[in-house]
Amino acid sequence: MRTRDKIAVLLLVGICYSLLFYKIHNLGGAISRALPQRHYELLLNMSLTAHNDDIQLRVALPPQIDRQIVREEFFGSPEFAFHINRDGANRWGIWEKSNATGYYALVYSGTVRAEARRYKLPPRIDLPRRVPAEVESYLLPSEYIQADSAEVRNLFEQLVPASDRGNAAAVVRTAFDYTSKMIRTVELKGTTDAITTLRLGEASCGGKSRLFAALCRAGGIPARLVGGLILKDGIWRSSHIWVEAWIAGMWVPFCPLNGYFAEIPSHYLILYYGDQPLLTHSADINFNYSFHGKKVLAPPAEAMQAAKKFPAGTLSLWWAFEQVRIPLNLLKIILMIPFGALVVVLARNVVGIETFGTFMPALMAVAFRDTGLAWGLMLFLAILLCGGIIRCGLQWFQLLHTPKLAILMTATVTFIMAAILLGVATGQVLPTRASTFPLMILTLTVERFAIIWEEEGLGKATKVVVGTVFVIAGAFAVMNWQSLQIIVVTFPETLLLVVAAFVIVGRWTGMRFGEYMRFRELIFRKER
Amino acid sequence: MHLGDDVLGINARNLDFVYKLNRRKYFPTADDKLIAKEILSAAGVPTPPTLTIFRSHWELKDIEARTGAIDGFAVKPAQGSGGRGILIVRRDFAGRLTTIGQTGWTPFGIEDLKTHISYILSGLYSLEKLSDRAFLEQLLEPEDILGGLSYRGVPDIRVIMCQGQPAMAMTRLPTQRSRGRANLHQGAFAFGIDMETGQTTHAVLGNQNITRHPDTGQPLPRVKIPAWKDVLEISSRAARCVELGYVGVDIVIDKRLGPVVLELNARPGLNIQLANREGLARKLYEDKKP
Repeated sequence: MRTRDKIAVLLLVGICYSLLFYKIHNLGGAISRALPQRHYELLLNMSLTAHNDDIQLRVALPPQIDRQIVREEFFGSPEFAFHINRDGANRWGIWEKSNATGYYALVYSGTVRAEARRYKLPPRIDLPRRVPAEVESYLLPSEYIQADSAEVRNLFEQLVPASDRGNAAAVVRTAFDYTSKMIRTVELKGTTDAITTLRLGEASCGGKSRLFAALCRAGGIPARLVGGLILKDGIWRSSHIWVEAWIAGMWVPFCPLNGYFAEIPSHYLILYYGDQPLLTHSADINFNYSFHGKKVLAPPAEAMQAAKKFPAGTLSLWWAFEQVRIPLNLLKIILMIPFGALVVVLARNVVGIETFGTFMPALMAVAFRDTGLAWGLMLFLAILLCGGIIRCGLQWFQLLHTPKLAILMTATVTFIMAAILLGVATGQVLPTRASTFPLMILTLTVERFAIIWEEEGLGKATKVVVGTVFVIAGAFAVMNWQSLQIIVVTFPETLLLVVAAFVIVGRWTGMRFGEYMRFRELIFRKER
Repeated sequence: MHLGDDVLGINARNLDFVYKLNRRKYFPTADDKLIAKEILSAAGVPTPPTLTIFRSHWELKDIEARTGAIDGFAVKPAQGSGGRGILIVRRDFAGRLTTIGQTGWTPFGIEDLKTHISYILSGLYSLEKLSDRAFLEQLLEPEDILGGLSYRGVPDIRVIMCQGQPAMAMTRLPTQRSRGRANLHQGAFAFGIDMETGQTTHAVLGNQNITRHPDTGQPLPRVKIPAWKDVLEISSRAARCVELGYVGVDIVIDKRLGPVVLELNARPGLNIQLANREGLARKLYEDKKP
């Protein structure tokens, strides 16, 4: 590298670090509170078909409690009357319509964030002598939690030695170990009560939780069921049930199914308390539903307030974006694109991988954010292959270049529509998001693929496809790396480091890895 | 010595030679074949005669009148690279147009020619350009030594010129797979050339060494390039008149015209090192030192 290159790199790195230092120095501890956090976009899709019925639908909505935040809620119910019923901490979304006929689709969505909680139980905790009135009912037996039945009492006496019976810590430990380890885990449909679980020796989350709650109540510890969701990226139907026991004056969570003892992880979202169904609806309406989850980064609520107070050039980027209603997600995509470009630059100039179009892999990786990498690549390859075949057919018509490209673009539009229909038909949500694929880039890629195929053979064309797929995957991995995203969104100055890297690679005269392969004979002969 | 120190990689070629020795404003003189031919002819460097130039689609309507009297020609995009878009067309005994296919001369109607030229005009073969010109060039007839080793097309000689000095050379011979075109990545094979004597050395097809002809399977002879001194002399003159410090000069030895410059390349490929079984780096870096 020449002196001017070194100076440029030093300047870029220097400016970046000074800005970082300035920010961290000024913000101090506030930084950790201002970092974007992982949230989930939660979507509940419901559908039903009615035949001149009066319809009511009741759905548990995530409560706003100290461990979880629910924002940006949306209730899509164009033809239904909607209101929220509160009972205690529970919120029930009620959709109603009289004389409904036909097919209806209903939607609930929101952005949620839950925190993990872990409680350290001392070895000895006295049973509560008196419990508050609102907790009292959780000591009594209930329909499915038969805490007073002979079988449950027998089991309790068998499991818990007399000396331990006054110790809440020992009772929950024993009840937890029994339900989580001695009861086999099976998928069961419907409601399994405590006694059935005990008799069968196997249950799913509901049965285990009810038996655990029954044992707690038998031992004098108030216990209640908690219904909720295990959040993840993807689509699912099943909800989850676990238990909270009233210990030392507070509700402590237990999940016998997944072995969380006095602990609740951050992907558990509470929807309601009590032994009741998550969803109730009028009969005979062919009701269907699914949950959709997607991990997203969002600034913590308090950070948005705090951002306004910081001096210019600190967190004001978010704030400025928020002012014009541009979500953090978009800001994140824009800021991550240079990192995608970095992957492309390294792949081309250092590794020597050939791809279609210079920055096409980085742009495709952006589009794959919506469909996910696997679906994205599958659709991409399908479009390439079908497009290539169509272009071969078009050769026969001898069309002018631009109209021919326009036909290829139309074909690409059709494929994308087909992917969306395929997604709808199979109930897969990911392919339906192919609508954000960059049309023109795909069309030009099809054209280049076909030309290379024609002029240099299928072998060479395949090689370029494989190279492109690798670089897309690499750019995708880097651009969706969440820790990096958090750093870049909070400190956009890091882009200066990327520019420094571009300067270094831009002045690098070493051999590309691919060239070591290509010229291996010359290179290794010289070594002898 | 480091691994591969003597082999010139593409990064080093670009940064230390192409960008350093070739000023951006002179790139078009090499990238555009028509401009290059104009400059070369003006300086008295022999080039194959240009028969006709198509600058826009509407000129295609009298294509028959413009090609009717020509027996054989090469269709070329002015700004194509790597031999892309070049077709060799010849009239058969019945006066029908034919081009070189996988199995020999295949019919190539006037409509096919029109389509091909319109693709050229749309910039299909000139990457990152939206339009181009197409021209027909007199079909050269290779002399017998290299011509005898080629499949139908026209073999050429590539000389890398660095700062006025010929640095390395090879000859590229069309094969059946390359359909008459002398480009290595289209399947032509190449001989390295001894710079002193003009004697061919090793042969490569793609990145592989070969000792037999890829089409006939006959052992490849060592031949002496005819008029080798003239070839070097013309290369030097060509490089001088386009003001490019690092340039690949492509020369064809025609039966009647002798050595003519076909085109120039401001970013000549690196496979020439494989054909010569020798790296370019040491030679070039030593030449560069004052």
